[in-house]
Amino acid sequence: MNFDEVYDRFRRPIWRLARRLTRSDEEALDATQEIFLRVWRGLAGFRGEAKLSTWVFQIAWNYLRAHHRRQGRHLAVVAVSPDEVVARAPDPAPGPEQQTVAADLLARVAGAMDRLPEHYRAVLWLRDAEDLSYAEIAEVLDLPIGTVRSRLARARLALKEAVGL
Amino acid sequence: MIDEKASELISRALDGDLDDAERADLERRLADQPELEAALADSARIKQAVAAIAGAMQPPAELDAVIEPLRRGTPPTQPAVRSALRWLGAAAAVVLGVTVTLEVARRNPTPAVDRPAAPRPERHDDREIFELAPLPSAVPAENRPVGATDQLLDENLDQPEVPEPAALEVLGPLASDEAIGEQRQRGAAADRAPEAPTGPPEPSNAVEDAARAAGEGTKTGKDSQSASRRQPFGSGPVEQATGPSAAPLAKAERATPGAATVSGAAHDEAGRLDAGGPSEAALLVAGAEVWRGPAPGCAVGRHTITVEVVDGAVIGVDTGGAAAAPGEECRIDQLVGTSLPGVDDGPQPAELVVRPTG
Repeated sequence: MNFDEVYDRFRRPIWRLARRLTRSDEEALDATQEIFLRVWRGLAGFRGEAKLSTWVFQIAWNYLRAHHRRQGRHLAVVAVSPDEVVARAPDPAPGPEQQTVAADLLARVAGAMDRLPEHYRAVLWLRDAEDLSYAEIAEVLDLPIGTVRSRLARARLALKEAVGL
Repeated sequence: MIDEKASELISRALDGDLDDAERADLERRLADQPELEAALADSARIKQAVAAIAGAMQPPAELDAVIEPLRRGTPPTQPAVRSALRWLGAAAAVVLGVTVTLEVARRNPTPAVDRPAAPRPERHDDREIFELAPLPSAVPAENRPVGATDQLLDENLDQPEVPEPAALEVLGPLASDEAIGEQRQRGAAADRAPEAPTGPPEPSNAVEDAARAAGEGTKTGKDSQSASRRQPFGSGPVEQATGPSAAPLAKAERATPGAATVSGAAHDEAGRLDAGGPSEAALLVAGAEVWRGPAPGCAVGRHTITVEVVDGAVIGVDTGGAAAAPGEECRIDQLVGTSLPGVDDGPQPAELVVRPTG
């Protein structure tokens, strides 16, 4: 697989992850560039022992985690404001009332995610936003798969409570 | 209250992660606890909401532009450098502002207000009379400073004497039979061109020339200190292991504190400057050599670089400013895949030592 294919496949997920973790368009752009620079350099040595998605997300996660550690900050997962989410979200339902309810839920979820502990947000985002499997999440975050299962369940419960459902 | 086991079953059911026995267990619980149905429905809505949030995020068009050099096969400008420069500029502005503020405040202390001002005596006429207090100096009024800035300008500050910086000695590529001393003289003569007539350089050698430069360097004092801190290429475990070939360089560098040397350049045993060419590199992590191999495009010398480590292996390398020349790329891609047992995952600092070969 050449770099173009990798970039086309992962540009959105990696930028989204970077944007969420950095909370800044500018930093997300720099981080995404750094991540793809590492992907570009490492691609020749990628031997396919792990799935490509796992490998790319591992690079991204390790870079972003180290980047924030260097800056003495904690990772955040939701970088967009609730208003931004509502403005950008596609029409979630046909009726105006349902649209309002769905938009309200999106805004509440976005705000609530921001208040979750970092390890909950990470596992929740990789599963529900990026659709990684439990095994892939375990590899990316370097956790046992059992920990991923239980952490994800707790994260969802915490998010549900934070949203007020 | 939903117990932890039920929460995990619900969560895994949303992801299709249950086996038959677990699914049967969940269905039994759902039948026994009606509130679990609502919890399952709520969790499903939240899962969809998170996915919708992700779907609403689109990368900016600028991303493709910054990645374009990678698509063409050349690394882009280091974003870390751009970020660092941005922060450096902001920090410099803040430091400058604070310094000026503090200095102005120090020179013009504002009297502390101990008590509120006394009430102004009532006046019965409709005009207010202002009186100017006499200035504490015999200087004519038109020449007296009127404000803090004027006072600052008016003061005769003791300016520290700043020594003339040593001219940057730019040494171009050597001719095949040219010694470093000759080249340095050639550069010095060019620097002196407007003042002194140029002529054929006098015979010299690198060490003598370096010693003369050292004598000039001691005039400023600072230069000799910085030279003593500078670590000459040729010291350290890799150089000791590979032989004393860099010793003349170390001697020459120690002896030339006043001269600016081109970073990354090195000299061979004959005292010649190596501006490029075949080179090999050794990588040191935590002081231990972990890799050795070719290093095309890398500047000779020592560089601090970053290696990306995952599962005890190198998966990427950021050679930063180790390139031999602007626009060139320091490539040590063979390093990717090297095992680094015991090294933590993530970006790790490493020392790249590049030596000329042949």
